[in-house]
Amino acid sequence: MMNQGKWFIPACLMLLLLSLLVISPVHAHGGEGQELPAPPAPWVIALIYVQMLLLPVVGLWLAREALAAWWPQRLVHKPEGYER
Amino acid sequence: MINARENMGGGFASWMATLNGTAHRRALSAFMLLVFAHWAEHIAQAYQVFVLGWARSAAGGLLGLWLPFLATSEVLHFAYNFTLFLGLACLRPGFQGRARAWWTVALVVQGWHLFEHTLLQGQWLAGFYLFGATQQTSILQLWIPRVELHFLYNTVVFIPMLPALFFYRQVHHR
Repeated sequence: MMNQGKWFIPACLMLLLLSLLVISPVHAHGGEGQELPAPPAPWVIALIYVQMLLLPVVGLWLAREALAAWWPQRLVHKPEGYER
Repeated sequence: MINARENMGGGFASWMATLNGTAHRRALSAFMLLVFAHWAEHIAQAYQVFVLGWARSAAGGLLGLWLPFLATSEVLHFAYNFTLFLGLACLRPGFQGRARAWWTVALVVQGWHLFEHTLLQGQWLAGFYLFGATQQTSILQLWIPRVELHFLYNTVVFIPMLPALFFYRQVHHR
């Protein structure tokens, strides 16, 4: 039961790699030139800093969730009802 | 022919049942890591433009510094947003109650985001630009520049996914 679904991460990585190979740099468009950014709106700066603070917290939480979902036996604190 | 269709339909139904049953938690965690990585890239890009003062064309997030086409490819942006919409839609039946409500909010917002990217992709393919612009332009881009707009979109899609995951975790507690 534990090993069910373990194909998912390798399959996703393979699909991602394939996508990157298929979508070549030829498809790149020119961007918006070399203009310097206009002075930012306050809400943009506020959003950036709030999200930068959230980033490591959310990242660690999601990483732990992924660990618990895929490899629960590697958690120090075992899931409730978990038995080796 | 009918049997083949039934088999295809049955296969999809069976795949969806597995995805939203025994495989849901694993699929969801892998999907969330992908979404998280993309969100982090948009934060990095916004930081490069608005805090470090880089030119917009030079601000490609982190991976975009090594592989610039990741930031500039219209096809890749479209493909990612299509995948995100598909993932949100396919994983939705596995949520219940408040978790599903929050997930649905993310799905609806992503629906609009995908529509905007479809407009951009269409213009890029056709070489015809809407609103008299000199490059592909989406509707809300008439008021908010692209970097800020997509930074905002990714925030608004990602934030409801977190309470959805929180309530989901309470139901599927360890």
